[in-house]
Amino acid sequence: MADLTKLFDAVVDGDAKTTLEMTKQAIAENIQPEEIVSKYMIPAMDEVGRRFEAEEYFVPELLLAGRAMKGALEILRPLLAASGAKPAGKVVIGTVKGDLHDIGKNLVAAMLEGAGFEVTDLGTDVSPEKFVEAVNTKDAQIVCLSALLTVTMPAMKSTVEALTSAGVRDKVKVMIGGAPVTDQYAREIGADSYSENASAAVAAARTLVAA
Amino acid sequence: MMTSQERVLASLNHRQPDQVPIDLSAHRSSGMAAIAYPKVRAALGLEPRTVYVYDPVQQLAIIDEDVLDRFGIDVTEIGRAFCREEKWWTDWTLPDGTPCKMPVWAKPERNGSEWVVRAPRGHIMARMPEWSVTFDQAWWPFLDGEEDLTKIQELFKEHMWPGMPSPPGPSISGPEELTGPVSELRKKTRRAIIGGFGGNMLEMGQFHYRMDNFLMLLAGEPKRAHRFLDALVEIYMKRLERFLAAVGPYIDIIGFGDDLGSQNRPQISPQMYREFFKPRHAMMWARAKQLANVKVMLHSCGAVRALLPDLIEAGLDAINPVQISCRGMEAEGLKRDFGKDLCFWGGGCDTQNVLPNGTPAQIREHVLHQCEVMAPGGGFVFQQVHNIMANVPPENIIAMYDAVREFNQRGAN
Repeated sequence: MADLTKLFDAVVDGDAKTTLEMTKQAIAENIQPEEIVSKYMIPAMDEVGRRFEAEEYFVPELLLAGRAMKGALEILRPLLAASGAKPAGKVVIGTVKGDLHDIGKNLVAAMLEGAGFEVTDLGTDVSPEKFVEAVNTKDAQIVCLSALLTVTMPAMKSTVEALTSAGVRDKVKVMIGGAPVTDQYAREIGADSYSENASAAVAAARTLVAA
Repeated sequence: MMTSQERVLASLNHRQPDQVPIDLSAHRSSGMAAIAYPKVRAALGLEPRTVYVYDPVQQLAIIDEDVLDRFGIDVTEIGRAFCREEKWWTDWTLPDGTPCKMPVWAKPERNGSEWVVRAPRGHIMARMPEWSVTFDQAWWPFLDGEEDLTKIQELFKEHMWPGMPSPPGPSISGPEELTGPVSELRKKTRRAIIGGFGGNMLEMGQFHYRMDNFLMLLAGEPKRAHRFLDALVEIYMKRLERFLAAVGPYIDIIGFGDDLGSQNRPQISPQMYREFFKPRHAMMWARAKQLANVKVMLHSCGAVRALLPDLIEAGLDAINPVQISCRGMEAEGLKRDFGKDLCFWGGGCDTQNVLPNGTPAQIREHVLHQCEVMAPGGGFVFQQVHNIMANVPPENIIAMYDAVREFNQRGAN
C-alpha cells in the first residue's frame, strides 16, 4: 500500500517528482481519484496556503507546490472527468486588456485548481468580449480579473460593464486582484470580491460559490 | 544656501540639508512618462519641445533643463552627457499619438495590433499590446531550461531590459568612453550625479529564466541558482571595476537595482535573501566603496521592510523607491526604525493611488505630510514612489512639486 501522507508532504514541499510517483502509485492501487484529490491534494494545498499566510512560505515555495500539484492533476483530470466528479466550482481567469503580467494570475489559477475548482485560464491581454464569451461557453460561476498596472485597471471596469451589457452579470461573481488593486476599487467598479493574494483568493472563491 | 550636490550629500550623510533635495528622472524609476511630459510643459506655460524617450521600455521622457529648474531638481545622471546628436534618435509615435524620438537601438515596429522590438538576432524581445503604454519582456534566453552560463554576457543585448537600455546604451563601446563626457558633466552641473550601474541579481535571473522559473530555481534547485549567480556576479565585478575606474571621481551615487518586493511582502523570504543575495550585495557594495567615494543606492520596489536590516548590514546607504503603499512601508515606521542607518530616496508621494487619482489639494497635503515625517535629520531625498505614469493629470504633477517647494520655503522662513 502506498503511504499517501508522502503525497501530502511532496505537494507541500513542492517535490514534483515524488508527487507524480505517489499519484501514479495510488492510481495503480485503485484508490479513487476523488479520494486522492480530496484527502491529500486539497489539504496539501490548504497547508501551503496556511504557510503562505503565516509568512513561512513566499512566492517561490508557492510556485513550486503549485507546479507539483499541477503535474499530478494532469494525470488525475481525465480520470476525474470519467468518474463524473463535480468540481468545487467553475472559474474563468485572465489578465485584463492591455496588461501582459501573469505571475499573480497564474498563482491564483494554480491555487484554485489545487482547491478543486475547474479553471479556464484565458491568459493575458484578454478583452472584455473574450471574458464574456468564456463565461457563456464554460458556464462559469466566477470570473477572476487580474491587473498589475494603474493604467490597465480601468479595463477591469469595462470588463464588468461588458458582463452587464451581455446580460450575464447576474450569473457570475467577479473577483479582482493585482498589485495596485484594492478592496475599495472592487466596490467602485461593482466587483464582488477583492483578494490580496492567491491563498486569500481561494477562500474568497469558496465563499462566493457557497453563497 | 547649499548647492544641489551639497544638499544631496548632506542628506545621504544624515545631516540636515538646507532643503529637502529632489530627484526627477535621475534614474529609470524616478521619471515621467513621455505621454505625460508634453502636458506638463504646456501646463507650466513652457514652449512645446520634441519628446526624447529616455527609457524605451517604460517610455519615459528626457526632462528638459527648464522643467528641472522650475521644479528645483537636485540630481542628474551620467546618461545625460550622451547621445546629444540626432543620429542616435529615430522617429516614433507614442501610443496616444504624440510624435517622439526613440533611441535608434530600440525602434518599435508594428506586429498586427501590437508594437514589438526585435533583438539583434531577429527575435521579438519586447512587446506592447494595444492600449498599453509600456513594453514587456517577450523572450527569455534560458526559458527552455538549458543554460549556457558562458553566454550570459553576450546574451545581454538579446533580451529586453539590458537589450533596450537608456543612453549611453550602445553609443559607446565600453565604460572607458564614459570618462570624457561624464567629467564634462561634472564641471557643468551643480546637481548631484548618479552613475546607474545595475548589478541586478534576482531580476537578472528572472530576465534569463522568466520570473516564475527563476523563483522556482531558487527554492527547488539552489545549487543551480548559485551557479548562475556566481557566473553573473563575476561579470558584474569586472564591470564594476571598469565602470568606477571610468566615472568614479565624477559621480556621487552609484545606482544598483533589484526589485525584491511585492505588494504585501518580499518576493522571497529573508532567509533566501541571506543565502543567495546578501553576500553578493555585500561584495559588490564593499568593492564600489573601495574604488570610489560613492554612496550606494539600491532601487527595490515593493514591501521590502523585512529585508532592510540585512540590506543595511550588506552596506547599503540609500533605498529607493520606498513604496509607501505597500505593507509595512509606512514612512513613520521606516524613519523610526531605520532612519539612522538608511537614507530614504523616495516615498515622497504615493503613485499607486494618490498621484493618479487624488486632487491637487489631496496631493499637497500628502506630500507635506511625507516631508514632515521623512525630512528631519536628513536621510531623505524626495521622489514620488515610482515613475509618473501616462495617465497622471499635469496639475497633479505640478501640485506635487509645488508642495515640496512649499515645505522647503516653510523651512527657510
